[in-house]
Amino acid sequence: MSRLIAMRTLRGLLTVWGLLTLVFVVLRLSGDPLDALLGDEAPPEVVDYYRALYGFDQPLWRQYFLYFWGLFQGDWGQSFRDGRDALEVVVERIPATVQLGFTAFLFSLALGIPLGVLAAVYRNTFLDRFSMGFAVLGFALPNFFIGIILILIFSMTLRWLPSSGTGTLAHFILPVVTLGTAGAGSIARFARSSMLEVINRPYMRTAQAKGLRRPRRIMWHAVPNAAIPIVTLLGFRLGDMIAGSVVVEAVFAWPGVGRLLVNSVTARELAVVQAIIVIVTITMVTANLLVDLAYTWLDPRQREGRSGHKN
Amino acid sequence: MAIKIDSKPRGIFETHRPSFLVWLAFGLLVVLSLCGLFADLLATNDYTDQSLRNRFQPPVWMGGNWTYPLGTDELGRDILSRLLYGLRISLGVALLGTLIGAFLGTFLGFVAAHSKGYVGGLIMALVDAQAALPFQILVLGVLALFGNAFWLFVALVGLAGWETYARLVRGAVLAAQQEGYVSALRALGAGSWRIYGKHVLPNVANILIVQITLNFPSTILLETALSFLGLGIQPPLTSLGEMLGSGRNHLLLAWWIAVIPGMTIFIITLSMSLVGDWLRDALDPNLDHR
Repeated sequence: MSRLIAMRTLRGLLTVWGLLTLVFVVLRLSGDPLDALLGDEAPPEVVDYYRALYGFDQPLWRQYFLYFWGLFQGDWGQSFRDGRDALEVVVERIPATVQLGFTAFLFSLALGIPLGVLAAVYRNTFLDRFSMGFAVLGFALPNFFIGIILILIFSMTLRWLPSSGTGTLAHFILPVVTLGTAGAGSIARFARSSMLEVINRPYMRTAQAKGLRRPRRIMWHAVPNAAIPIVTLLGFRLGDMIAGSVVVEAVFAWPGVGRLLVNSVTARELAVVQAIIVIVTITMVTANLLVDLAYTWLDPRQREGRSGHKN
Repeated sequence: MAIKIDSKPRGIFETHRPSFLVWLAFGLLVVLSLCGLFADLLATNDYTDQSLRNRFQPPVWMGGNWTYPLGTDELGRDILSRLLYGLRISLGVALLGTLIGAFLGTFLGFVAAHSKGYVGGLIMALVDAQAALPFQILVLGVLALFGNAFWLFVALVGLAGWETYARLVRGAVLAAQQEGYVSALRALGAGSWRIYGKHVLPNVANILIVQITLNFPSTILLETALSFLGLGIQPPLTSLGEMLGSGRNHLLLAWWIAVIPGMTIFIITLSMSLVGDWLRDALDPNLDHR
C-alpha cells in the first residue's frame, strides 16, 4: 500500500516537473524575454543590467536550475502592471474562486446524485427520461449562455438577484447554478449507470429476501456500492470546474483567479499566467492523487488488484 | 425446400431506426451547415457594415422591419448576416479542429502501439498529462505567450481531445495484434504500416467516427467559450461566441443580440450530441445498450 502511494506521488511530481520544464523551454524559445519587457528602443546598458539581474546572461542549464530554485523560494516573477509578485497577485484571488467552485460542486452533487439514483431506480419511466434529458441539456448548454439567460430572467426581468459582483449570499446563487448545472448533468448520468450496475447484484436480492423495504435497500445497500466509481468522477469534474470558472467569473464579474487569468492573457502578463497554470497543475495532480488513494481505500478489491498481488 | 437467405448487409438506418428527434437534429445540422457554407449568397447585408442610425433594431417578430430580419447590434450591423458568417467560422473551426485532433490522435495511437519502448511510453505520458489538465487553461497560456492569430487558434482547438483518439486507437491496435488476420498478414510479409493503414484502420473506423461526433460539441464549445471571452476569434471576423460575447454588454437594451447566437450554439451542440448518441448505439457493437 505504501509502495503504491509512493509510486503515485512520484508520478504526480513527474507531471508537475514536466510541465514546469515545458514552460521554461517554451518561454526561452519564444524569444528574448527582455524584448517584451523593455521594448526595442531600450539602451544596451539597461538591457545588460536587467539581463544580469534576471540571470539571462547565465548558461542555459544554470538558468534552468535558477528557475526551479526561484520557484521553490516563492519567486515566480513579477506582474508588469504593478510590479507586485505574481504569486501574491494570484494567491489573493484564490479564496473567491474556491468559495464559488466548492459551492457549485456541492450544488451539482446535491442535484446530480438524486437525479441519477432516481433515474436508475425508476428506469424507463418518465422520471428516467426527465433526468437524462436534463443531463443532455446540461452538457449542450454552454455555461456562458446559461449565465446570460439567468441574468436576463432573474436580474433584469424579475429583479430578484444581483447579476454581478460579490459580497452577499444572494450574489452566489446565479454563478453557482451556472457553474454547477453542466456538472450536475454529467454526475446524474454517471450515477445512473453506476446504480444500474449494482441494482441487480445478488446482495440486493439477499436484502430483499431478508425482508428489507425498498427505500432501505436502495439507501443502505445499492447507493454505497454505486458511490465508489462516482469518486473517480470527482477528479475529472475538478478540471471541468476550473475551466468553467474562467467563463463564469467573466460573466458574473466574480473577483477570482479565472477572471484574473482572462485579464492577464489579454494584457499578456506572462508571469501571472504562468503562476496560474502551475497552481492549477499542482491542484489537479494532487486531486487526482487523492482520488486514486480514496478509490483504493474505499474498495478493498482495488487494493488487492493494484498493489501487484495476483488477481 | 428452398431457404431464402437474406445476405444483403443491412445499413445502420435499418438496424437502428433513428427516432424523430434524431432525424430532426440531423436535419437542423444539415440546414445550419448549408447556411454557413453559403453564407455569402444568403446574407442580405455585408456582415461588417455599420449603420449608426440603425442601432439596436429589434427582430421582425418584435416590430422590426424586413431589412434586418433578426435586428441589428450595437453598431447597427445586420444580425442575420453576422449569424450566417459566424456559423461559417464556428462550424468551420470546429470541423477543422476536430479533424486535426482525430488525425493526430489516430497517428500517435498507431505509433504508441507500434513502438512499445520510450516513444510509446512518452506518448502515453502525454496522453495522461493532457487528460489530467484542463485544456482550456493551457490554451490560454499559449495565447498569452504568442498572442492571437487565426491559424494558431485553429491549431490549438485541434489539439483538444487528441488523447481520446490516441488511447482508443492504441487499444484497438494492441487488441488486433492478437488476432488471426494480423498474424496471417505478417506471415504473408506485409509491413507493419501496411497492416495498420489498410487492415486495422478500417476495423477501428467505427469507433473513430463515433468519437468524432461525440467530440464535436466539446470542440465547438471550446471555440465559442474562448471567443466569448474575447480571446478566440477576433473582430472583424466573427463567430457565434464572439457575437454572444459582444452582445452580453447590451442585454438590458437588446437581449436578442446575445440570445440569437446563444440559441444557435445550443441547437448545434444539442443536435450533435443526439446524433452522436444514436451513432454510438448503432455503430458500436461492444456497448451494452442501457
